[in-house]
Amino acid sequence: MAKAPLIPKKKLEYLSVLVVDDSQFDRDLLIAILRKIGIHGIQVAENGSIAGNKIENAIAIRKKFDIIFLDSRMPSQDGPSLLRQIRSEPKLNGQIVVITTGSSNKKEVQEYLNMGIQDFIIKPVSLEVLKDKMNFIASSVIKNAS
Amino acid sequence: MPAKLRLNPQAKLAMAELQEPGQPDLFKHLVNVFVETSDEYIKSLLGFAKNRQILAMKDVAHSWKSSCAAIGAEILTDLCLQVETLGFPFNEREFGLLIGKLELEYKTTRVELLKSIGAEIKSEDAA
Repeated sequence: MAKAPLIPKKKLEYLSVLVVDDSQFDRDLLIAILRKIGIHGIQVAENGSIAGNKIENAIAIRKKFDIIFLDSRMPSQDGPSLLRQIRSEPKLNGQIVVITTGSSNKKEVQEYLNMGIQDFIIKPVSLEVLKDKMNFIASSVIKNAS
Repeated sequence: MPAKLRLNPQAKLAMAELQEPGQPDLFKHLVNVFVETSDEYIKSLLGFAKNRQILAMKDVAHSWKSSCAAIGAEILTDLCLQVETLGFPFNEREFGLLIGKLELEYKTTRVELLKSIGAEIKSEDAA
């Protein structure tokens, strides 16, 4: 696969990201990696229901997150359920969602792809993998914004 | 396949790469979060194992596994995977051995991790 050109750190600074994960460890690690890449506009949600509220609040002020990192398995409201909610909201048309999952189960991954996710990352997330993926993901966000 | 390590030093190096100047020690923070959350995970997992709530136990093992891998606890990661992929019906004796191994491995890994950040080790933990 061809590598996307490196996105300048300065452009990444303006991205707003929502990290949804019930594991504090996984959240904090992902945040550290995102910051290292140059993304500082990060909000967190410990579960799908908190994430739903944050997304609604963003819509209320006519904004949306550039990228949502969504853990696939969470108590109360899991990844697929929140993803369906996001996809059914017309104001979130084109919302970029990246699934973070501890499983590499092909069926599960295919289900997410059918639901229109942009990418998925097998946990634990590493700097190298995320850097590479963010080049592709962020380049489409920046392209859409310009 | 190389032998699994209790703590792979590469994990600490990977976290050192993420350290931002002037910010609190990331590795120390993540070890503290890991120990705090893992104490809860092992408690729930043992409780579910005792009551043979296998699906709940598998869920805990699944959630725990990625942080074990990220911190470099390879043996613990492997044991979590074994619990997560436990087939039905399972052999009671082997099940008991697996849970015992997991409990002991966590206790030892916990001490090693706390030592690695210079934290105080309580005598009951070191035993």
